[in-house]
Formats: sequence, structure tokens, C-alpha cells
Amino acid sequence: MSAPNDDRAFKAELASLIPHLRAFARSLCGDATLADDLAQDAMLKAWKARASYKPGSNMKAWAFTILRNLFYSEKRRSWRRQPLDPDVAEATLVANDDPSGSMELLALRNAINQLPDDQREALILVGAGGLAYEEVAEICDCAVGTVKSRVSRARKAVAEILDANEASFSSDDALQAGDVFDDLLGQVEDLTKTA
Amino acid sequence: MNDTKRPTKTDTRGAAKRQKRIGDQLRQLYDEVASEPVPDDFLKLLEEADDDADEPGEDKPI
Repeated sequence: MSAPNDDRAFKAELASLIPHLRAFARSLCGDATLADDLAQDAMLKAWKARASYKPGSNMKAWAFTILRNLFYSEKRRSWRRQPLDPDVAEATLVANDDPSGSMELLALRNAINQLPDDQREALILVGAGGLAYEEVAEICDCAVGTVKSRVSRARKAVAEILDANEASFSSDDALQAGDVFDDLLGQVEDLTKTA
Repeated sequence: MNDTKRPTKTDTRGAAKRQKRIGDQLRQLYDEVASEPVPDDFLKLLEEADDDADEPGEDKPI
């Protein structure tokens, strides 16, 4: 069994990883409260499993593996990802006071939410989590080439989803405004005819 | 969706720029959470976590 000193050092390092566990969990489950539940469970699980950690290896990658496995294995748990409610997303968009950056960020989060699980996690871990392809391959238990292709497919899909959303937003607005205008014109015409 | 169109050079350059922007925003999303102050209950839970390693047992219900 590990010495008390090692345990203390392990605990300190694990504590320093909490922000990353929270960020990774948030990207997996979307909802902030549920994500923190998942991150806490992963943290405690990592603590209990500390004997299986190889000192000197990347503890972040190791802890992410635990978090990810927890997320996928416990299917009934409430922090399993639920599809983002489009109404909620739209309400948030509308309610947002700072249209410059955060609207775009929300659109991106929405797009990421639509990715298949395997593409989403690869994109997050490589693109934001600062992990190497090799480390992500270990976390996701697949080949390095698979990680690369998932990331590349995810990037492409996100751009496409963002494009499609932009197009549908603007064309919807234009269509509705046009319809209203035509409708008004029609009514005016009817009025003038009957007068 | 409609990937029948062959990308031109300008498209490719635009796409690369676009991807860089998506990448920056992706990191921003992650960093936003990672830079939040850690909620107290995390540190408290870890502080209180006992020293029994690999304890079997049921997960606590939510």
C-alpha cells in the first residue's frame, strides 16, 4: 500500500486537476450541475483507484479515463447526456445580452452537442483539453489514427452544423418577414378592390 | 449536406481560417469552466475522502 506521503502528494495533484475534470465533464454532459456530479464521482473514484496510477505518467489523462468510463458505463445516471432542448437553447440565445462573443459560443456548444459521442470527446480532448493524440487514444481505448479521423470528422461536422444553423436562421426570418408583407399587400389589395 | 460543390482555393483558405476560429472558441468554452473557482464541496469531499483504496461497494444514489 502507498505511503502516507505519496497519498498526500497524490491528493494535491488530483485537487489541481479538478478544474479540468469539471471542464471535461461539462463538455460531456452539457448541464453544469450534472457535470459537477460526474466530476465529483470521477474525482473520488480516482482517489480510491490511486494504487493503479503510475507515478510520473500523465495524471490528467489517467483521471480523464476514469471520468469518461464512468460517464459511459453508468447508463441510467442522470448526468448521462441529454439532448439540448432547442427551445431552451433558443431562449438562451434571445436572452443573451452580449451578442458578440457568447452567441457564437452558444452556437458552437449547440453544434458540439449534436456530434456523435466519439467525435465530441475526441474533439474536446484534443482541441481544448490539451492532450496529445496518443493520450486521447488511450483514454478512448482506440487507435491513434482513429482519434485523428474522429477529430477531423468532428471539425468538419461542426462547421457544417454552424453553417446550416446560420442559413436556417436568416432564411426563416426573411421568409417570415416576406410572408407578412405579402399578406398585408394582399389585404390592402382586397380592401381597394371592394371599396 | 450539399458537398457536391468542389471547393475553390478561396474556400479552402476560408475553411482553414474558420477552423482556427472554431478551435479558439472550443478552447474558450473549456477554459471558461476550467478557470471557474473550484466549488468548495469538491475540495471538502477530497479532503474528507478516507484512505481506503479500491473500496468495493455501491455507488451512492443521487
